[in-house]
Amino acid sequence: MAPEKLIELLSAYADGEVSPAERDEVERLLASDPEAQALYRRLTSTTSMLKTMERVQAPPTLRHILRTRMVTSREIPFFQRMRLLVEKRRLRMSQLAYLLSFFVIIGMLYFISSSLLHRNELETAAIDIEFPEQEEEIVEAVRFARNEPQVNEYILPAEDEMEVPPVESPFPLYEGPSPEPPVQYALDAAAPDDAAAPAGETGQPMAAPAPRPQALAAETRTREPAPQPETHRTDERAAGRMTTDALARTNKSVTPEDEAKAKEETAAHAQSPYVLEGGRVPNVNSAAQPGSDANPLRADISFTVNARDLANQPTLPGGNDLTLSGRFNVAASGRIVWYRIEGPPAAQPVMEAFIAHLRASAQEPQVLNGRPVAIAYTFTATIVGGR
Amino acid sequence: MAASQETPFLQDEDRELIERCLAGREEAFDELVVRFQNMVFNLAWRFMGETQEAEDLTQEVFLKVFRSLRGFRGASSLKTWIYRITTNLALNRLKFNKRRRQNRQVSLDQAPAEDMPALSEMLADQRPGPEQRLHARQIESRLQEALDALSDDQKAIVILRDIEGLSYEEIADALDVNIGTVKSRLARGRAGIQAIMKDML
Repeated sequence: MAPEKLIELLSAYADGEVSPAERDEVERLLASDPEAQALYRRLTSTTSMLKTMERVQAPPTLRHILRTRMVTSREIPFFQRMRLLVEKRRLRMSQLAYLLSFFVIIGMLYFISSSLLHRNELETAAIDIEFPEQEEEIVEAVRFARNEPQVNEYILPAEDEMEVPPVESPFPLYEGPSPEPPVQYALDAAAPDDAAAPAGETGQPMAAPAPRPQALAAETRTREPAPQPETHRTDERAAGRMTTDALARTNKSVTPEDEAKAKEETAAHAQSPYVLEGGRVPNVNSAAQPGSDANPLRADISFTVNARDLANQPTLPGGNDLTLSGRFNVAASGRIVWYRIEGPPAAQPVMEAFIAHLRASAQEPQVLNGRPVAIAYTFTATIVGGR
Repeated sequence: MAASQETPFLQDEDRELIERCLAGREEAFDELVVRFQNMVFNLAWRFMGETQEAEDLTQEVFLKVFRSLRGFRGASSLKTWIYRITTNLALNRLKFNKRRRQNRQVSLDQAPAEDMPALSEMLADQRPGPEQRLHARQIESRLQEALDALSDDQKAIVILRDIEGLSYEEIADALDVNIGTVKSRLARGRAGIQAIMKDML
């Protein structure tokens, strides 16, 4: 038998990995061949020594090193790495839950405290203005201004995405016979310089832009100057020119003498339109900015009101139809928070009655795209004479 | 994971451990490492002959195990599969180290510096004499030297059989060779060790 074959057979025999025939052959050989016996003895000694070799223990740091390498290994799935990372940092899910709860509580406390502070600020603003009876309106105006970012969503969408709903007058339209074209107010005709007359006198919408909501807030907060709840005033040119008699005359029927006197008075003040302004925000014109035609929060409306529908049924000066123009802002709740109209000085009672009518009528919430909004109206109103 | 009838070599315990690992349970990874780390490290140490190399190889083995676990079909036991990975990676690393050593070959008879003795003299001086060693330590060292002198194939089979105690069938499975090859390589490996350890037998 070749030496290599003998060694292989003895090696397999030592391990018990031989067939029965091979086992018989090896045992016969070992019984008769001293060289095979020596070879087998050295073989078993070698394997015995190998089996007694010390078993090396893995270093205790192996697990930690391995975990670190697994976390940083990109080939380990992401979520497995994250879970290993969490455990490596000794962060348990319960600890994460506690941490999350802490931030939620802090957030809730901040929200509640800021709401209370906000309310206090609004109340302070109302008290500062010293119109406690109109506190709600003031608070509403401030809130409207504070909500400006939300309002801007409507002010500044892309034009092709904007759907401008039809804006209707919140006031009852005159359903009687069509009035004749309003006769230009007599004072206008008598005006020495038509070109210098304010637009409001000619029955056209006022060229002056409507105030922006932020102007309301700014002016309300600064209280500069202190506003009046219902400011009936004239331009400085017209100041003091309205007499008691003239005011008294407006509450009774017009006689030819009255008419003549009114013509005379108003002719003298042809360039002095009577300005009726109210609400919480004075001097809005100084902060006013041009509006946009595509802005659904601004609306131009024209409507006709029968003078008989006005509360105190004022008599129009001269018996003619009267055209007024101006602006008013209606808050989301439907309240008028600011107005300004211009008309002939002699029309003051009509204008006051008209404003009272506006305030009584505008109570419906203004809704745009399902959200309450504030709308600034520029209007032209034709007051049909009380014929 | 395949059904148990499709994985006859896979024990229920191993199958359950693999399923937990695949589900991303970190304690399962820990359990797998704890169960096999000494086996893998010991095998790696015997292959590489030094601790640092053995540690690196062990880490590489477990990373390979985690990466490949999803593809493990249970055609062998989990232990045999890990043996196979360890052996393959160890043989690759040994080949790489041999190439690197050839590139860095330095003559022992050449002094590293003008005022220094030759490396052969330094090694001879530093080698402790037999009287300074414990007998067991001497045998251990000689056996490791004998193992390192074998070819990689013979070394792998001798380690798996005589140190790790795997059966011929498991060795054949781990190394992807037939039983006859295992027998012949094992016999030649043992004969090689005998030749080196002749004075101690």
